[in-house]
Amino acid sequence: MKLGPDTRILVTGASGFIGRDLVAYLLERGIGVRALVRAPERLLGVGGDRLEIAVGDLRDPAALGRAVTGTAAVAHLAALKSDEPESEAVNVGGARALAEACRRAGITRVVNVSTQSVKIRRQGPYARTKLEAERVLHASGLAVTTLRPSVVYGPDVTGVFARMLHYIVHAPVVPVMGDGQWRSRPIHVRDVSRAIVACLAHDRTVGAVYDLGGPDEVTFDEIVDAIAREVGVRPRKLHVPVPVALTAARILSRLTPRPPVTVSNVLGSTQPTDCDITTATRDLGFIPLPLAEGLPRAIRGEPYPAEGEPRLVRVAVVGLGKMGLFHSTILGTLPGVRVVAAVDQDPALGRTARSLGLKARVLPSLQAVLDGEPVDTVFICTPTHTHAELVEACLARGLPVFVEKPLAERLERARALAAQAAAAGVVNAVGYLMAFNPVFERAHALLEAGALGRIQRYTARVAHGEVFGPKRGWLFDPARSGGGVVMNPTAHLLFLLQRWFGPPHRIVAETRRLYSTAVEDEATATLEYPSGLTGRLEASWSVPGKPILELAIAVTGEGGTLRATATELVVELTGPAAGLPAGRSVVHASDLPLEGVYDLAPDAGGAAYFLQDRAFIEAVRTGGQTRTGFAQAVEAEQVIDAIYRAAAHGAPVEL
Amino acid sequence: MAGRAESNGLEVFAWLPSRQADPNFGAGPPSPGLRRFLEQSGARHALWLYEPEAEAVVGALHRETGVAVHPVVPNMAAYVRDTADRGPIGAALVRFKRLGLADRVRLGLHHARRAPGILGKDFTTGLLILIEMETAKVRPFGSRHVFLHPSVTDLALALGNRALFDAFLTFAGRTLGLTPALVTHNFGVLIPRLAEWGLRPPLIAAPFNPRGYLMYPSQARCEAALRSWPSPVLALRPDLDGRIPRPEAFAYLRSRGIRQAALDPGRGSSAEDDLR
Repeated sequence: MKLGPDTRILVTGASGFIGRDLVAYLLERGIGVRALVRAPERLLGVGGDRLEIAVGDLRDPAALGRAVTGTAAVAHLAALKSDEPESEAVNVGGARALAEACRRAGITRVVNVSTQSVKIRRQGPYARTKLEAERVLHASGLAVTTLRPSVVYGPDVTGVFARMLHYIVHAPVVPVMGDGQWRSRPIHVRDVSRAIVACLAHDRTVGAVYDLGGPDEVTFDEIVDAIAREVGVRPRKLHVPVPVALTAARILSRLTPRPPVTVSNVLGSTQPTDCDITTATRDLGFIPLPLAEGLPRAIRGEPYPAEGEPRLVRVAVVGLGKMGLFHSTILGTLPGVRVVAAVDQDPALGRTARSLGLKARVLPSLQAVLDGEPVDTVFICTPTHTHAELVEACLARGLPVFVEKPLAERLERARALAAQAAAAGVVNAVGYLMAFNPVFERAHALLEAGALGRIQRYTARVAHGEVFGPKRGWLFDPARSGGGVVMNPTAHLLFLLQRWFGPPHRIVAETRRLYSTAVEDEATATLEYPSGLTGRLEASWSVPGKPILELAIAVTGEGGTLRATATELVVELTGPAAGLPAGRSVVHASDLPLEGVYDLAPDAGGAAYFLQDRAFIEAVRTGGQTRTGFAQAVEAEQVIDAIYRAAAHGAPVEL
Repeated sequence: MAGRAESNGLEVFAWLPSRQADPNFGAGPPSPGLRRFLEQSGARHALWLYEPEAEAVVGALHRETGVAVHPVVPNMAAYVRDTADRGPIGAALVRFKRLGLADRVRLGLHHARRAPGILGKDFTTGLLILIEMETAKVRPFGSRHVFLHPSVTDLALALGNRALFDAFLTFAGRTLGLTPALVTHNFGVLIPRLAEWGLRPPLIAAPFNPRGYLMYPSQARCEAALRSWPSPVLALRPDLDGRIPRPEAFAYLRSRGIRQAALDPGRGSSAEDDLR
């Protein structure tokens, strides 16, 4: 069936949990809707003027006849769910009356929304009457498709899910019927609406009965835990034995016409249904939203992700120090990314991060995350000597992994990790963020384009005012950090040099301690390349007046010079080249506008952090690689290793 | 340097984010360059990220020129560095020891009831204590505002921590008796969020310049947010430290309804300077 503005769909039960969403979804798609409701005020706020309302009841044939007339198809949702005495009359009799009204009005197409409960062995009134309604409709001669959704959740304030959420947030204990191991496939209400529309659109679904559920099969206990985690509470679950729950439901049904739990509820949520979504996924042509994405949205009252919105990437961040917090924050600003878990051995850091607003669950070990938390990738932001073990754990699970730089404290460990990552075939990256600095990247592009002709020499400098006395902490312990100024801030520069000029073949170096007791504070090195290029490196983290790390590279070629810092590029050319005129050109960071960035610290490479994390997440989504993969990191880190060896031996080192 | 005529209609602040980054700063009295800047720009206010090493020079600046110095708090980078060396308690203790007796007593009175937050390592509690300690060192220099440092503003914004903003705005006004202001590099994200939360800080400082540099998530979004925001906005470094002629930068601000601008009296480092 072709659906459009001229098509009018009758929705029965339009004011219910699914009905309200279906009406909104149809109207969003420009499809005409007539809503059959008993209480029109319950549709306030849905659809506005474009919604046509028919007031009536399934038991009223005349009202049904008026409602179906002039529509193209029916989405049948109306039903009594609370085991009311009228269930038979409404659910079965209503289906019969609807079929009759359709026949009289010449309407042939009906999508019937049923329930997984019709599959259970021991049935209550709801399951029994819904199953009978299915039979009535499929035997009616109309073109009927039936959908049997599993547990439906969504952002509305009505429905089973909203009730469960209310209990978890407000009640001292959450009653769970049975042992809590009953399995279902929770599905977002919008996916049910999408399925209904897909059925209407595809004639191949006529006559079919589909199980409808989300991609994740979970136990009742797991649903409660997931909701509780999201709202930040730790409810006590009270597992109520089925006979007790049934007795309570029967008593409540006698006391009130709308009991909080019915016999049908108990029976429907304690017996297996084996919801199989394979056929629905194939025939309806879409994959429902994962629970990890849909549930938080529903709890926050957020709408279903818009079409084209990127796939959710769930991240675990290991280490809640400065870098861990930095990445957690930036990742949280990226569309379709959620930091779902954070790891730190220090519970105080976890408390601080949570109080700062980190929504992730904080766990004491990566293993705890891998064993219990569904994640798509891991960011490792711990001291360098811990990287190898953590990376290996991720690779063993086939998880894409991002590691803060340097990859490892020793070259052989970095090489081993790169080899393992290549063998595992997973996306990997190291936090060499200067490769994402727009000014340095512009300089790199000019060199690649041959703007300077044959490159003859460069000088590169790292200057930072950080160490003016003995310092404590892992960064100043070579066994844990791998070294001093060369291994740490200079690694950024060496990565750039590797990216720009490739590997050197000979290195001469000296290192000096000025204030530190175990690591070098300054270093100088000469790097010689097979092409004849020679580079001179100076690095110090004991430069007064440099509170912010400064990297600078000056390159001389046959055709001119290029001088670059993180914020400015100055090029002087003897003749026009690579789109630049002869003479002096200055490119400031402000000439390279960035859009969509969230910048946490412009003075400390903030935009590059964002661009780096965004590129990695994109690689995770597409299975691609980034410019700072383990293999590239190893190439830079072997230069670091050579500098240390050359300085230690006081002699050149060949690579 | 901007003359008074250039800044006509704009109130100019001196932006002194870091002693070390500013060649006009040293251990001695304010340099001639800084005096000249104040005179020529007509700046009567300065924003300063507290550093004990520069306290003497900033104090002299206030006494000799009457410039009101407003703290940008906290100096998180310095605190994080100290924490690595001394641990969080040691870093806090160093700051506490810098205070006079009256400030120590005041601090104790203000935060005694926050003991559970301190013991529980609550970020906001620690932040307010740090803010009060740093503000105490700056307010003798004529402070009327207290600016929340962008590293905290933007962290809390990204993490959706409305409570932190609430706490800062209340604490600055009621406890410190200063007008609270926020500094951000993500103005186009901050404003819709503040509106959603129903918060309206009296002043927000953010980059605004004709090139859209550091205006995140985009110049268009920042300008749209500016149009919707009823409170004053202070433009940070609108001339990009001399890369845009000040008349052009000021004209841009005026055309956008911005009445206050903070300029950096020092020159930004450039590739040429760094490699010479």
